[in-house]
Amino acid sequence: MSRKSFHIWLTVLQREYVTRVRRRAFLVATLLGPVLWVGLIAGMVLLTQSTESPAKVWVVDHDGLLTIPTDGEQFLPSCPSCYPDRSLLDYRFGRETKDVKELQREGFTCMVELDEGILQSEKAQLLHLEPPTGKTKRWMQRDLSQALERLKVREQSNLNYEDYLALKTNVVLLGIDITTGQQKGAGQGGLGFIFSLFMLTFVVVYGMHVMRGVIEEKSNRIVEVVLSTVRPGQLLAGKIAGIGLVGLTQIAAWALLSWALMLGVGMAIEQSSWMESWTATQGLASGTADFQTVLAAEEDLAFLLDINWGVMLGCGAMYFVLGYAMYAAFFATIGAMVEQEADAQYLMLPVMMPLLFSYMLASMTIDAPESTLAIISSFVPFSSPVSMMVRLPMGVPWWHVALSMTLLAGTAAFFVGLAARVYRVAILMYGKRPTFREIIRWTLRPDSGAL
Amino acid sequence: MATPVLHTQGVTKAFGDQVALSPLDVEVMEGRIVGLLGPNGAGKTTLLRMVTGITKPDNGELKMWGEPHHRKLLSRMGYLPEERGLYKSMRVAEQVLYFATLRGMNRMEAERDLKGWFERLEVEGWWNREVADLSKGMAQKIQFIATVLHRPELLILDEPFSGLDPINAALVRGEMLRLVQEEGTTLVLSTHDMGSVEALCDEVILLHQGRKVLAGPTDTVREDARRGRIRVVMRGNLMAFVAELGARAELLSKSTSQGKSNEGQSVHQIEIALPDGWPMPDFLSWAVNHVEVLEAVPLKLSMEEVFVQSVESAGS
Repeated sequence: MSRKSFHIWLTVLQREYVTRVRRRAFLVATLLGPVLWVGLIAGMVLLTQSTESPAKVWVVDHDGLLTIPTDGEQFLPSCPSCYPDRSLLDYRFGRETKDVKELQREGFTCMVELDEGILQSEKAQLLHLEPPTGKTKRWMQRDLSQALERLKVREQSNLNYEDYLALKTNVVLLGIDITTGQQKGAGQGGLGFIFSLFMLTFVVVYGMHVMRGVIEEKSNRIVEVVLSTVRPGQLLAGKIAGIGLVGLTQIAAWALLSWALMLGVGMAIEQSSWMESWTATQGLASGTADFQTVLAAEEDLAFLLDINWGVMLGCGAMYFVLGYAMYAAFFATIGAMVEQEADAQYLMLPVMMPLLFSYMLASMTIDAPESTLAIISSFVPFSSPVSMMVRLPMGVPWWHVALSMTLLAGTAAFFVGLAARVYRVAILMYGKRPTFREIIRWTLRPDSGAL
Repeated sequence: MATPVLHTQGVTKAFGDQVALSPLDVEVMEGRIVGLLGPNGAGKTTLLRMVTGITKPDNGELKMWGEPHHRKLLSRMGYLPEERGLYKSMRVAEQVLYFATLRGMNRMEAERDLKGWFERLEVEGWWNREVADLSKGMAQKIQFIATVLHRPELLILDEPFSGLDPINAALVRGEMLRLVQEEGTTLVLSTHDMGSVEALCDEVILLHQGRKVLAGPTDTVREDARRGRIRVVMRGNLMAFVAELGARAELLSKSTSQGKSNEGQSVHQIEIALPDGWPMPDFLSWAVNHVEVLEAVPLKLSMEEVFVQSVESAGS
């Protein structure tokens, strides 16, 4: 691209960008987005608080570390005081695992498996029929940690304070859904679904912006003036880039404002009386917990701390840019073919189909993000921007992302090129809509357009 | 010999089966005002779109300032198409400056010149107003400014006066003439307003069905189109004179006014078309032998009559 061509492209881009970001609708949407986003998370917190249900735990002590046998093949904890009575948590102990049916029949909600390995690793599996709440899980971890510490202390003689500190134990329970075998909770899937929903919305909304922009230029005939200075390809590229940049600005603004809002909400919670009472109920020393501790304690929200937000936002932005570019090319072609927006309605259906299909897939793959369908759809360029966003929070091999983006980038470049060929002829056609044969001819004859 | 600003040779353009331009040879010299005329569908817009780089000719040669046409030359032109609009979401000055920047003009220079244009076309108060608030006539003036702000050497205006009231049309016309006279701008004017053509154009090019049917200096074209037509005021025996005239010349009209003569004889007025081989002086020498010729003047055709006559004869 020559310097002059670049200048023209940049001027078009600037116009498309500036005229949109200063619209009141853009400002309102940009400011309201994060409020909705933080509201969604706050809603999830309230939901988890209100749906607290009692947990009945089957503790399988394979190596007899924490239990002693009684008559009638019953087992009791060797440290009963380590498991205080709580209305929301009830323990039963044994040496044998139970299958799903047994657990269900006997009313257990989850099962913890312990063996000698826990003394080193301090990790154990929490197989659940129903995932425990964050508070219940925290209680379990603290009870088991205390029981193990007692065991370790009992085996020592002449214990000094440093030795005691070395014996301090913090058991971590790894939650696994016993029926699906999925280690991750629903949180990541839900987050991925929300991201994919945002992606779908952004691609469609900004793609439609491109279409409307093209229709506006065509219907008010300004395009002829513009094309006497700017190549059709430059105009289209500037338009797609400028409007895409508006989308990126909104994404960046949402990310920044959400982060600031979360920070504000966190600080407000930390300084509230609610924090004091929460700290007390968790058995923590006053002033030792912060907002992150609250999040970490909530099973349904703790995953938010594990998410690599940089990767999520970076990949999200890249998928938006590439996916939007591809769909914007389709929308621009439709815009060039019609003279008013009403005429574009039925032409939009074939463009919307792959996006809607990938949205349906996204909703199906929340529960099975590693299914073959989910993986394939995250490679297919028409669905990958939406489908990959569902998989990303669960952790995806880097080469999956690289391959998916490469395929998407190649396809987007191909379709933008084709769209430019159709656009430059169709944009000046009035009174007659191009036929399918004409469109094919224009795409095959690149020399049939402007100077 | 000076290099023409625009020169086409054998240029053709077809859209599918429909021929928009048959091989076309056109020449526009620097500093001239050239009227591009023709009925709807004659190929005017197609030719203008080629000149402004929007479409390419299928065949033939298109030269601008002696060079084969290329995009770098587009910034030396200003084009105001017949169907024109403005971006409704932009402010007036911002929009004009956008076009000036696209055409390679420095922003500060453009702003300075724009202020001058706003004053000359009396739109000073509209600098920061929304385009959506403009009346049709006001929008026309803004579009004209957007076309000329970057000081084009070739100005192509398609129906520049449509939507303008007579006062504003005169204002714009005055600015067009100033550009030609003071800055040496070449002006191609495509219009159906034949009054403007007569008033402004040094030359005309008339297209019909993609072909050039007439071209040349406006006065010459009008003179040529006269085709020997004259008006004769005479006294004498009209019936005998017409009979004598017979097939020598075509009688276009005749009328008689009573009581105009001192001698009580009627005065007749006839319009006739003399054939090519019978010039007006020869006709008069012949006529005085039959009637008393009081007055004989060549009939001057309006551009509208030239237009209609040329299109009709081209069609037949």
